[in-house]
Amino acid sequence: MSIASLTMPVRPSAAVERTRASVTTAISQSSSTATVLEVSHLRKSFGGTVAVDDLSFRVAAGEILGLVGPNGAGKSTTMMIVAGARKADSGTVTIAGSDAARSHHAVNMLLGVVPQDLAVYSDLTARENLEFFGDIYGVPDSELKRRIERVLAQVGLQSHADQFVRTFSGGMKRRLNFGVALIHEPRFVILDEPTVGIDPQSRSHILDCVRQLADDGVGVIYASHYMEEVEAICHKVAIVDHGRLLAQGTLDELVDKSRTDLFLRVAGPQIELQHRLQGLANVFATSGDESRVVIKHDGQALPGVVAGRLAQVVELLETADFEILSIETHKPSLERLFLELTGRQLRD
Amino acid sequence: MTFWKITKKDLRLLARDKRTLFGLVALPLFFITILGISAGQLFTAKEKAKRIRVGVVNEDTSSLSSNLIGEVLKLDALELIELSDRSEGKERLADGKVDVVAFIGPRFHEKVDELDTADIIFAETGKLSSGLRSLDVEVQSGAFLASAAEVVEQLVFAFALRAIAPEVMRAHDPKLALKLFVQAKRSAHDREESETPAAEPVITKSRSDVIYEYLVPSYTVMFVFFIVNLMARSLLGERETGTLTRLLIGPVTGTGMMVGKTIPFFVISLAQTLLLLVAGKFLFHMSWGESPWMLVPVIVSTSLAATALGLLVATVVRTDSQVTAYSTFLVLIMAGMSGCLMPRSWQPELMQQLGLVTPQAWALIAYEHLLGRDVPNLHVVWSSCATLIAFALAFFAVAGWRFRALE
Repeated sequence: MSIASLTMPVRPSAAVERTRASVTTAISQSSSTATVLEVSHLRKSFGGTVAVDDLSFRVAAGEILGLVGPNGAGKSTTMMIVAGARKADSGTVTIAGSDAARSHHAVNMLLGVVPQDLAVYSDLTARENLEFFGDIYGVPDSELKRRIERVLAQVGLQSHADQFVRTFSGGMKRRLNFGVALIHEPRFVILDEPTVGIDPQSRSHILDCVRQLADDGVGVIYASHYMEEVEAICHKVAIVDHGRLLAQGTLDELVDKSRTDLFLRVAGPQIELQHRLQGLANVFATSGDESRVVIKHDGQALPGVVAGRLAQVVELLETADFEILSIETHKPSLERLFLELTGRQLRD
Repeated sequence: MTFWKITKKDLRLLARDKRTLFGLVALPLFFITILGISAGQLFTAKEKAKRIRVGVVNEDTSSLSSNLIGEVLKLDALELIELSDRSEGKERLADGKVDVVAFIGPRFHEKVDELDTADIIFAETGKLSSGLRSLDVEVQSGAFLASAAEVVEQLVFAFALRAIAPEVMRAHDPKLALKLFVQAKRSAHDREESETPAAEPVITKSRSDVIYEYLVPSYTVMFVFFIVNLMARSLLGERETGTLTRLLIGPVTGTGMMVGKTIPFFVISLAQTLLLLVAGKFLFHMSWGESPWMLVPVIVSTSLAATALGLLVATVVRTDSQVTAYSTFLVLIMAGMSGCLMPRSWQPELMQQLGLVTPQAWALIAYEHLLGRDVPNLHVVWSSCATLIAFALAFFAVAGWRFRALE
């Protein structure tokens, strides 16, 4: 047997811990507020492919729901149905008490959508873009100027307000894309990967804006590939794959930080390892001929129990002549939870 | 009224795209100018009619042949070019540098000497029954006058008779010749006294005289339909950037979006047509016809059909390459079928009928009646406008159906 590496537990950063504290406060505040969005038994298929399969969740005013899932998981379809851009095969979407399918045009005034595409006009200035979308949403002229200035300040584009969007950096375009969704002061905002491919400064700005929205009582769905972002700003998380809801709850409910699991990277096929380690550990297939062996530690068990289980696993593997490539200990995280639930990395 | 907001935004975007706007007006103007130059009509519409170039190869050394050439020179419509030998004559004719070549053979004067008065008076049965060949003269016509070769030959024969008749009569019937000469002089004197002016030839305007009354509307109609390309690109851009979805998620309806996207291009199309017709009048002296006010419904209905087709194509294309391929193919094929590239009257009957499936053909029919005729048939003009509007409605209907699929 050889141990290729031994990694110490990864501690969450101080910033993430601070955010978690503020999230907990927000949850306690929002728990008393009304539900802005309720999605119930949503189903949508394209031909023979089921994109959304019996999906249900709620978002309260001032709450940020992180929608997490790999590409093709059904996140965008769900959001498009919520936004009224697609029709569901069955199920209901209720926004602020109104059925979105029946009163689309009344409901869409309450809704702000930040699409993954940079849905702004590059040959207009930032101000003209905001003016146009504000006008479309029927913001009165007397009010529009004030709101434009406010949104420009929110997204940090005041000094670039009169520049053509085509001259903007990717981050600035993303911020404007976000700002456009806020011009009519919606009660509910959907953000689809709003920070894809941008610089850390713009990312931080957008995340601050999302937090501010929630503080102002706006309900938010935040879809992202970046787990650290979801962990940092979301009050609740819904993990979706193949159109199905795999898990839903607050971060504390989903991720038990007191646990410390042991991860062994072993050279060998998953099926054979699973057979030999039954009852001792979970085995997941990884790339090539390797497998990941996970020994769970639920925090309640005594440290000796886990150590004993590790010794048993190592012995079994040694006897069967499997090479242990590395042993790592990790604090559970959303990323790890996702891996356990779906058997793959989020960016796979 | 969300459509009006979309219209305002698109007009603002279009106004900023100065190169495209310049192209919409400048390109057809360049085309019209170049084709006008090619047709030899640029700024020369008021000049004299084009003269027929006649090459002469004179192998006869007598004064008789010089007389014949002198007779031909009297006609303003002909431009005489003396050529050294037969090979040069044939070469010039093949190259199109002369329209007709007359070869006066070395035996011309001998042939004339053999004639008597009866041969002149009874030309069809006497020694001249073989026409010009009887005089050792040959005429060849080039491609320009190929279909009129026989007429040309008869004309030259008539000139020849006029030139040789006095000589033949003087040689064989001097008394008769003198009598006829005196009579002719007296008639000429009487005509001068009565001051009856010789009748001027009646000239009817032909297509080549009014080239710009064909070129300007034809190329205007063709280029108005290039709006299809711009519209398709605009809607595709909205789809690709995601602004279309964003607007439709908001309070914009599908109909509002379609109307909002159509109006700016309709306005651009009207402005383009007006500018081209104004340019046609002031740069190329094109006439606006007897009923210029009737141009208004033609311009409006043509632009409506063009923008409706643009909207239809915009709802069909999926990529930028498809925009280029579909719109260029559609516009050029329709232009060719309709008669934008060559006058409808030059097309075979079948093609003229086939062309009627294109809106461009109806626009051209209306323009032809208004600009190309002294008294336009207004019923035909109104019918053409109604057909153009029917095309527009059909295109809008299909575009609406396609747009719902996009939503």
